[in-house]
Amino acid sequence: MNETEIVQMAQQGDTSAFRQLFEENKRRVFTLAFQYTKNKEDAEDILQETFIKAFHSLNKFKAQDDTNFSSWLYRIGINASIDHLRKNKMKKDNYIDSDQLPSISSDDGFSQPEHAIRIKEIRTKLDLTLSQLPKGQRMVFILRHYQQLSVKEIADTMKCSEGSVKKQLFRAFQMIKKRFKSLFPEDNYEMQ
Amino acid sequence: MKCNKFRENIVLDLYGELDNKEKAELEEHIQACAECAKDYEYSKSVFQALEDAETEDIPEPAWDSNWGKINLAIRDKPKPQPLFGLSPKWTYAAAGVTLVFILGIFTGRFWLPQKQAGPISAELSQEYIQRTLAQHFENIKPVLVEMANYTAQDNGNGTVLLDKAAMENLIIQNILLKSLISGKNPTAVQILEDVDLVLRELANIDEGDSGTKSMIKKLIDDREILVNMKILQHM
Repeated sequence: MNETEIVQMAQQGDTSAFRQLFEENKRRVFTLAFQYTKNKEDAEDILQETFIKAFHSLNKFKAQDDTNFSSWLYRIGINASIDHLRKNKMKKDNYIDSDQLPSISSDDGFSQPEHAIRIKEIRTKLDLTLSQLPKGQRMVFILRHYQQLSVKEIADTMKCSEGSVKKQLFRAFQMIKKRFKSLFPEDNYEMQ
Repeated sequence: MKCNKFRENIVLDLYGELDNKEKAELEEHIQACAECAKDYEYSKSVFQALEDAETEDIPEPAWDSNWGKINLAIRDKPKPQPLFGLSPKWTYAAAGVTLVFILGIFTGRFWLPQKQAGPISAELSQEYIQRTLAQHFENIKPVLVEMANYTAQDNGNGTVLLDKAAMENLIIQNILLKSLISGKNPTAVQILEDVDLVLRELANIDEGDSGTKSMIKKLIDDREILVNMKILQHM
């Protein structure tokens, strides 16, 4: 049975068919939500909201050449993630203040523990930076960097222009660069 | 082209979003502009660091528990349950007939005196609809509050829940209002649909059915029905 047939059964109120759609799409939606919120409970709430909204809107969904159920659901997941954060302000406790982390030299030749700490520092700094970005910029960055959607796919999904997506990606990356200055002293990049 | 545009293209280049012409222009500019060349090198290092740190542990949620909550929320929603033994078709037919009467009364009372003979307008003012909605929400609030505060220990002590006749009136009011505002206020229609679901469950509940009572309580919480009603009342 293909996806279209399963969707049609779900549209007729068949919850076991809808369960099948849940099984096939749950991980992608949850991963997006987790990368966006950095919080397991929030991501689970978003997962539930996404599928509940999808179920109630199933009759509005019509499979087209450029829109399959997964893309449609993904769009609902993106909106649910943004809405969720709008309703529940990001929990500051999820983030470690990067200024409290030990300062690590950016020299080459880290030992294993140093390398692990540096990776952790980069992730923490990135999480902190992302949490402070405007919601749209954060979502664009996550969709491009982690979910590896192209600019065009993001524009289609978020219903905005490619130019707008490019601007938001640029601004998000500029902010990350600014926050990463302490990790990569500019002196290392003097022109020869 | 100004450096600012190239700075944007540096980021887009890292993500493979430049076409050949844009890429060639960027490379040419970098050869000639020390500042942009420095920015390009720095951007590459940051990008590489993000790539290296990318393998992030995604936690494993309790999938079955999540599905259980979704299933609870969507259960019975697509097919409204019979109201006191009536099929949904007859429930809506009865509501439709009553609606025509009510519209007639309101039209005569509020519109005809201000108009000369002519076609009867079926339009109701926004103010009137808002007032009626607020009154309706006031009427159903005690029932919803009682269910929202329900705990397993309360089972059997409910007072509001026992009054089936009152429940029937509330359901009919709810159906009528939903018809009145259909197409005019989608937010209110959604809330009334949620309320409809709760009232129908309550109308068919057995006194000792704690499972359904817990489910109704969850429904009220999850859909934030009381909060949404309050917001709408103050809009």
